[in-house]
Amino acid sequence: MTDFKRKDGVHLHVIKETKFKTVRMMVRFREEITPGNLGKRVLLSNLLETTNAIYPTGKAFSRRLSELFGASFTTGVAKKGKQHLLSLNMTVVNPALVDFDTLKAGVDFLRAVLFAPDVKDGAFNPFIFKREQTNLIHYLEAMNDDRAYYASRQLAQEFFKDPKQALPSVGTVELIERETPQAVFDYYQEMLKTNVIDIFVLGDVDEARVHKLFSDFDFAQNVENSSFKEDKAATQVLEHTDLFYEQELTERSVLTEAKAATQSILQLGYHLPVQYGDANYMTLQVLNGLLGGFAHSKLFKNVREKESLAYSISSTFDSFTGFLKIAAGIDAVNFEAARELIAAQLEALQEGDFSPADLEQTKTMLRNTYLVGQDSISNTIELEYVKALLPERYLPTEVFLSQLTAVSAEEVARLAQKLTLQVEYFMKGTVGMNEREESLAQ
Amino acid sequence: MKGRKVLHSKFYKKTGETLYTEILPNGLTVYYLPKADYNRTYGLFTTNFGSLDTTFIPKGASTFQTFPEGIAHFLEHKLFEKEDGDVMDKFSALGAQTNAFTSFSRTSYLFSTLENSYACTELLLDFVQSPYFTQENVRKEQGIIQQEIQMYQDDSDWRLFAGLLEKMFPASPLAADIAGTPATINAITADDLYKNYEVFYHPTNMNLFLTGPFQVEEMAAFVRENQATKCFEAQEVPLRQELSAAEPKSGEALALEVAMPKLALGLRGEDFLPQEARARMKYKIGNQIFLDLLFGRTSQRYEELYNQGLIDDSFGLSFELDERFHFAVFTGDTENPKKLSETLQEALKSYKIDRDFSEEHLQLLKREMLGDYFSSLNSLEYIASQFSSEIYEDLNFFDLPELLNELTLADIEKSAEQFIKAMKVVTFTIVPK
Repeated sequence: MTDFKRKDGVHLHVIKETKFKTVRMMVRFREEITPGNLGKRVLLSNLLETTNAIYPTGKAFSRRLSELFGASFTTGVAKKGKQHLLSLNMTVVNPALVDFDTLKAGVDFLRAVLFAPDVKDGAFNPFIFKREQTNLIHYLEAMNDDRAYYASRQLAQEFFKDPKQALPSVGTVELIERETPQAVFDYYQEMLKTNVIDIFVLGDVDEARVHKLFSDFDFAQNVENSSFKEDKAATQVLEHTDLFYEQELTERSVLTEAKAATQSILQLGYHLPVQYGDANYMTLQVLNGLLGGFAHSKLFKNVREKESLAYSISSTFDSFTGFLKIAAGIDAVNFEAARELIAAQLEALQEGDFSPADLEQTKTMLRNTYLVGQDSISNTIELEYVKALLPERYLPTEVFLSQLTAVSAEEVARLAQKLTLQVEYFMKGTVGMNEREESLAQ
Repeated sequence: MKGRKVLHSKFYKKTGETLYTEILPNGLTVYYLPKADYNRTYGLFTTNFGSLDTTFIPKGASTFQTFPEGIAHFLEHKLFEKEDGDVMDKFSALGAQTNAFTSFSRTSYLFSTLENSYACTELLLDFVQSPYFTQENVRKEQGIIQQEIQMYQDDSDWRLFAGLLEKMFPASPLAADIAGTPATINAITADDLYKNYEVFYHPTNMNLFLTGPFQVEEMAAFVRENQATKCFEAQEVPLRQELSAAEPKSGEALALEVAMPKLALGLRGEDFLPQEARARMKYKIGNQIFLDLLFGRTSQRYEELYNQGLIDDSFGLSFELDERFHFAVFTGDTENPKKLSETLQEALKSYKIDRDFSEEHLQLLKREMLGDYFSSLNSLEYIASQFSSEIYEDLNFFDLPELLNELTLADIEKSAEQFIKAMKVVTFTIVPK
């Protein structure tokens, strides 16, 4: 892996890897979650994905990608702790497979997207803006059709006491509705100048060539701005408190709501006092694996397999926001039984009630998942990104694996005792299985 | 099928991949695709048996018998449970992940592992080939599957597609949910499961696909030996009842709690499919390209519909083809389902004069499909699943670039015309409550 620290502060990471048939390029913009900017960023992710001054129609845009042998260009937004990420992803097939310089053409395409937006009189094309704004609003409204997503949102909103942290990475209808073509374009200029920018390229490439191909990307970054400290030559420093979200323990809240759905959803949010890279971070990985991370986990084996109380059940955590969640799809009539049995699984872990075999199995699965992740382009890039964000906390492979092996049963039980239930959310489905909706003839 | 104790290999120069094939004495077809620079091994064991196969002639019988809907999927779940415990635990102990899925015509069982690839291969073969069904374990599964069905009931896009199938192929197994209904699965007995198993889970009706950093000769010897220790009675090809559906019912709608209306436009295939493998594969690819020419993202029509606000990013289309059925489907969120449906149908009728139905556009799409093909080789799962579902005699997924190259606009017009002349149009809509 070669890191190029450019004069303008933009960090170019090139990972040479010969096993894939494609080359992936990602340009990522980072800033602290700011409600006033959130709607703008999400709108940008849509606008940049549809048209620009060089490819002014969706058709021209798509045609160019087809011409580049089915190249794909997508954008996405996400949160990492207190930071908001806007990413542009370009994937091209290896030049050698199609006897065509798809790499250069891909970089040219990225240049067009970034530096030739469809703008007139200092604002985004109003027709395109309106269309994308409308589609985005519809999309956000439709997201709630996904009951599991809706339940997760309700839980997050109740759990995170800081309203900024409770906001979803895709923003809200209100935040998007109020934006204008002018305001979003003004922000875009700002974003290019002041966001922390990382570019990743992964594939069978020549590092020096890639560096050269990106050399004329002028982000007009102000090297005096707060995101680049000239004296830290090797890395851009991100303050710990600017990344990791923490909150105090609060009173437990219980929410129930009825929804016209066949399946009911139960979600539990726990306060998690562990951060990525902490001494007990690997213990957390093992704890989560034992609890509900794998098919041999307590939740899966006891709640689903043994008692048939849930079809889908799992536990997940976010070590950048201090949050652990258990989610289950259940039948409303089994609510009490499921809730109790789920609580009992965590209690069992707290009491050390799990076998050495289970512990070993969990470590094996974690190790295997980690190593198999090296077959994934996205996974590889995301790990490199964390390394760029937190160079001191990053766990290289040998460290990850040796710390994993060292995790003891006592440590797992002790950590389980530190989880505190903060929110219980129950979405009660009100549609019976035998009810068939009335069919309407149009 | 004659058994060949020899590994056939085919080298694909462009991508540098070599595919090995062998048909074992017991009739099982095995594919090996070595991937030296990948960390994990992926195995997929598939039977040609799915949700459509509810009526067939059981072993020793002479007439057709119909079994409850959802039985193939139920069997898939049950196969993991053995007398000495759950097979998932055994895979976990080897550090592997495992899963299975059932579709209309196929059921597949898989593992994905970093190490112990031989033990996992053995476990995959052994657990699928040793059924164990009891009334007790049948009863227990009913609760879990009921919840799976419920979960899908709440997915409005799933309801849209399922609703369309129901109206497009009424009174046929295609109209039923792959998992059945709580009522039908309650009717399944252990005896039913055995009856289905013994007919369809025979090596002659199955194939195994293995890919990863193993030595092919060694793995092939291992698989041969495993299969040689087992005894399978020679048997006839399963006699499945022909698929027949009632007349489609177009224009129906369902009210659900959704943010926007959803349209599903289906084109039920009524023409006779080419019998010869190459011709059939070209027919399928040809019709896929045909739809992309007229309605894909590179078409003028897509641009217009998108700008008019009649479609958004949720708009999608596909052409599905199986031995027993074929159809095209368009789905998407739209404020005006009626107008969208009419516009799409008009475009289909007048495709010959459509400016997007051109040589230039075809060449563009060919480039795209070729690139997509190469990109998809990154994914072991994708390659394996293509192999489990897209096999036409000796032709397979790796033959795509060659077939693509051969396809002309005249070929595409021929298969499109054949399809369109006979097709039956069906619409189904979901409307907000």
